[in-house]
Amino acid sequence: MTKMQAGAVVSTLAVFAALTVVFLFLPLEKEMLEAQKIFYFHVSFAFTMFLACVVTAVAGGYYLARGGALADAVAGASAEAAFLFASIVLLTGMFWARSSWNAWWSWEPRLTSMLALWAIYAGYLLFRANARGETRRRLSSVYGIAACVMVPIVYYSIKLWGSVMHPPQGTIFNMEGSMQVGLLISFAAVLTVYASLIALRSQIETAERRLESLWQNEGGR
Amino acid sequence: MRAAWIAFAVSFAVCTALAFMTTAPVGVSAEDVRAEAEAAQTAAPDLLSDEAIQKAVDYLEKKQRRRLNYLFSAYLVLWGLLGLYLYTLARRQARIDAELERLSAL
Repeated sequence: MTKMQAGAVVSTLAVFAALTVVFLFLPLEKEMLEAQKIFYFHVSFAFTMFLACVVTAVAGGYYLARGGALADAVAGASAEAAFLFASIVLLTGMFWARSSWNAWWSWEPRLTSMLALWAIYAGYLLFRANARGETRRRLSSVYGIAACVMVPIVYYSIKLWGSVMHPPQGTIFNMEGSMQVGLLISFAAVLTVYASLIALRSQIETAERRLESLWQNEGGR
Repeated sequence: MRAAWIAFAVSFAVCTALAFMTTAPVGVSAEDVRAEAEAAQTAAPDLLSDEAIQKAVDYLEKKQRRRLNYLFSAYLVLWGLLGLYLYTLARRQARIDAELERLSAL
């Protein structure tokens, strides 16, 4: 079994465990009832997205300081995961919002800052898709570091600007014990999915780079 | 790539099965029906108790179905986006494989 296959098996088992706990064992929340079960994966993807943004910045910083194809590949892969997870958070959040606030969208601080983060990472991916060579690698590293500023802005947006819709940061520490356990298990499952996606995407990125250099060598002959 | 697709398909199947096992068929508790029927009779005193109960059950089931629709839709979107991303990765991988073949043929 290759590392990639092992990663897929671990991710599947972790997701299976999380889904079993969320759907079979966790009680219904008193006010939001069934719709509250969106919360476990919605919040887990949000936290993993924050982690993906930080990994993009750290890998970008490493690339600027020491270079290395792997650091650049990890930065690119992690930014893609951050964008994907931000899309998941925004869309699953809309269903939850419709169920509990009776509105698909509201221009409140958490949602607005989250949309800004999503757009910034879309810009990162557009830049990376269109630039080439060392310019792409260096500038996308700088972009990734700058984009990471959005993480604390989104996280502390409620504290900074106030909102009656989203709870402030740290609310999860005051939740019922079983819900905290459910959230932790879901978070662990999403982390394994993130790790698997990063590994898979980095492998493809590395292969693309190798191919690029092979073509250059071929053209040079 | 195949392992990722299998992992995705298995996880999606498990999610769908668990969601159906635990939340369908739609049902409401007697306590909620009683409270809702009382509220309906307070609002319309002419309403017979059987009618009020039926009205309460219909109302509560409709509300529950709505919540379940949102829950299923949210999870469908989640799996849909993950599937779409895996598809783009599979296409990139296929392109690399094709180019490698072309290169080795040169």
